[in-house]
Amino acid sequence: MLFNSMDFLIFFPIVTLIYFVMPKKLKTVWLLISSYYFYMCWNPKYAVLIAVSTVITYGSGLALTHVCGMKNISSDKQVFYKKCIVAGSVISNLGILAVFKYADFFLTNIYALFSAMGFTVTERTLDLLLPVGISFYTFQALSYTVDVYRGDIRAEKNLIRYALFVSFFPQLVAGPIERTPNLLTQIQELEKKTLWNWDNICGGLFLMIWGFFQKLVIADRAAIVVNTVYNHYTEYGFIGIALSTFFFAFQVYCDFDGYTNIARGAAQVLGIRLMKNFKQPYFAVNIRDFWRRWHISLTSWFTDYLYIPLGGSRRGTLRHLLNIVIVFAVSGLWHGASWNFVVWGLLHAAFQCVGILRQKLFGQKEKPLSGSARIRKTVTTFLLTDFAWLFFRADNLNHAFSLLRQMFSNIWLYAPGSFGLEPSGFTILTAALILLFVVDYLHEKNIDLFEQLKVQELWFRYAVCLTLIWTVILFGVYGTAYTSSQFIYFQF
Amino acid sequence: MKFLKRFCSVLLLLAAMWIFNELFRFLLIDDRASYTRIMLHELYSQEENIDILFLGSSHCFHSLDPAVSDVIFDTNTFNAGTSLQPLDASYALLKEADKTNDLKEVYVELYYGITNEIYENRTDLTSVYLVSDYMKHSVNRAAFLLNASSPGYYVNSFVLGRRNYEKLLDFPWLFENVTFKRTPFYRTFQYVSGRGEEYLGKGFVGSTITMENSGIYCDYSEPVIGDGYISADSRTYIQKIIDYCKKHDIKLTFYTAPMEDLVLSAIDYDSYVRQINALLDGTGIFYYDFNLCDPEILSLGAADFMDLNHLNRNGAEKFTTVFSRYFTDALDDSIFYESYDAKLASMKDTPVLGLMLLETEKEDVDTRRTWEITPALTAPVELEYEITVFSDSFGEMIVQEYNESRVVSIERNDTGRIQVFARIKGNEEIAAKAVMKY
Repeated sequence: MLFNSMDFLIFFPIVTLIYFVMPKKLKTVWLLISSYYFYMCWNPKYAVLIAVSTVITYGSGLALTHVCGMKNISSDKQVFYKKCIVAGSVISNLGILAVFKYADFFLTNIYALFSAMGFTVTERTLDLLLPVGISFYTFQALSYTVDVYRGDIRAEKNLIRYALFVSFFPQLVAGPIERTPNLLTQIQELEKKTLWNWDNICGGLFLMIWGFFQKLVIADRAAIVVNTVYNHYTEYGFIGIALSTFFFAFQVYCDFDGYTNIARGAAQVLGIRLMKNFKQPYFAVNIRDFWRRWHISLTSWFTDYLYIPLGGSRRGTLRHLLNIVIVFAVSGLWHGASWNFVVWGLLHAAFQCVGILRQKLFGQKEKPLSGSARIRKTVTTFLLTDFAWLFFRADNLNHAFSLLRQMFSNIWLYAPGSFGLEPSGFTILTAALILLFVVDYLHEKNIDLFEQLKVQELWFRYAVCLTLIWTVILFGVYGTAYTSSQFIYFQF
Repeated sequence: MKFLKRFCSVLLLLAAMWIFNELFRFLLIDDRASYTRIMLHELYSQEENIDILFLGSSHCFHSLDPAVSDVIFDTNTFNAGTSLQPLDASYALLKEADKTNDLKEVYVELYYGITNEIYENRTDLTSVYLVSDYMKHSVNRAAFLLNASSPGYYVNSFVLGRRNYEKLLDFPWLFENVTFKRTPFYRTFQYVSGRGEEYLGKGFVGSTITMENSGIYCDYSEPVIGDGYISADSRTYIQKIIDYCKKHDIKLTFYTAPMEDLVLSAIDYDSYVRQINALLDGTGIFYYDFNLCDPEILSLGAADFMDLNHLNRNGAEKFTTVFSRYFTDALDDSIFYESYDAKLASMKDTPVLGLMLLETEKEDVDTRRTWEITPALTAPVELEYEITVFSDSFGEMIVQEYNESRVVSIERNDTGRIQVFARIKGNEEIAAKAVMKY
């Protein structure tokens, strides 16, 4: 079920109410049942996959602990056994991910290669339905295995608690990709602490409303413009395609951050704090800064489990650049089994590599930025990321290049009033984006809006809440024929 | 103390939400010309008990005049018909009226255009909202809305302002809407008139429009009435209405108001009548189709209709009189034919003719528009047609002298009028005429 659906609006209050009245010892069980129910609403069969991933990684954690406790073997053998266990866990989990997400991609490319070489091939693909959230929970489960291997945490012996860590419904299908020191620790303490907290509930609900605002008022409205232009790009030139790509930057940001905020808000109501996944990304002053602010959980995952093991920046400049290219190529592929996502990732790698080389070649030192410098860098970074978003949004690589060709061969082709939105829609979108900018700017200045709201008078607090709620209710785009529209990142 | 404070703050928030919901409804819903708003206000504020209630679509509120039925029934009758009123709305209105009245009899109109609706496929809920928007807040209203559509529509159903949210940015419109709603005319539920129609009280809307000549044109198709025409949803609600009336000791009757014979003769109307009768078989409830009424008892011509489907004020007076006399036992069953075909057979010497122009697609669809003249006949006769086109670009042209050909074709981008005269072969007199804008 989607967060922006009637089903969730019924599901969440029921789950929360029962959660608070349940005895402490049963809270974990209740959340686990709710999480599996939540996931099975998508497709009951794929609950088996998440269960398999859970059991494999849970078992690998216990196996690693057991190996560590074996006194009758040499340390070399211990390391070997531990590596085998980790490899087994990684291969099986990534294997499942590869089959369901990448098999058809690889097969299609192999067929294309054989065809290019002159061979006649009968193309067959698996046509498997992509299980929702598989990329997220697979990475989350794998991080547990590696953390236990590294000795960063102790293996969780309670299967229920561990299963909840993998399947916790607010963050199950689109992140944030939680790490064991944060989420698993909180789950372990569920039975010990008092979870009813009025501030948490109010704060969590407020965060959810803000998330719905981002998703329904901004993202889904911007999507109308983007879809209109991208699906009929031959009718537009530079202005149309550039404008829609600009809106896509906010569509993807608000869609993803909106989802994350709803997830964080829901978790907060339940007394669990999830990590922030976005930190005002379009205020970044360079691409490296952008990736410290965008999809923070994925960036930190790749940093900890791929980039650093590859050597990071510690093995010379060339290796440093290569590591960046590898990480971003994989990151691109993680986002989608299609070459346009890989190109998107590689573009970001290229931007970062250029930045690093500039620094090395021209010896630029990091220094505090002046206001004008900050604006220039922020705008430049936005333009670079927005250019890359064109590849991310395109249906495939051919579509991306066609869009670019269309942009630069028809600079002035533009049909006023043909972007799929009425003038009132553009007004609402513009106003919403201004509000988003103000909120992000305040966050950038480390002003916590909810904390500020808490200290205001009752009438003001109510005015803000009611305005936000009614803005979502009245101006939210509820999709065609009022069915809830999918979050973008669900395809991952 | 803390708990009480928090409890009150939640209640306050809910109350504020309610107030804003009503405020946005006031600002954004344009019901300045709504009959239903006035009708439901009258329903709720009737001082005298409503003994007889009429329910149904526009076929009901255009055809039954309570001013006439009050006299003949000698009691207080009320017409709670609304546009395209589906059976779930009829059921909700029945329960609503029964809350504050001791209903003795209920007559539910069963126009075939509403009995084949599948409720889960609804995308346009106008016919539902016409009723629900003016019902008092109640469990009945909530249940009606929750069952009327899939969950994706619930926001629009319960948050009325949501349906017209774009108007929040149209300040001139907002100002006009709010200003009108603050006038005594609106606040005191004054009668609405316009487009040749007038709200005449107790739910009845009378029209002064008449059909032009005897020719009728239309550019839409009537539904095909095959087996299983009546939808499962309609059957469910017919049964609910029956059960409710039996439980509350209300005499229930289903009926159909008269329509133009030209429309009914173009479809298998007897199939519909049979299906309704089969549905009610064994329930003890009866169905009376006034399209089967003897024309000598209920004589309705083009001058009694405002369009193909609805009686005008003249026709309503005639029909209400016959309807009321029949149900007060002043007329017996002999006024009805056994079937619609039997009625048509009795009219074969005086056929009613009409012409429909139905747009079709031919090979040159990119450059030309084509209509097929479809005669609506109450008796089998051979016709020939003269076709004149009054083109805005090319002027008046007689494109066909009298012959059997029934195809009219014009250039796609042209505008104007098509005039068709039809006469029975061998007869010089014009039997039917149709004029249609294109």
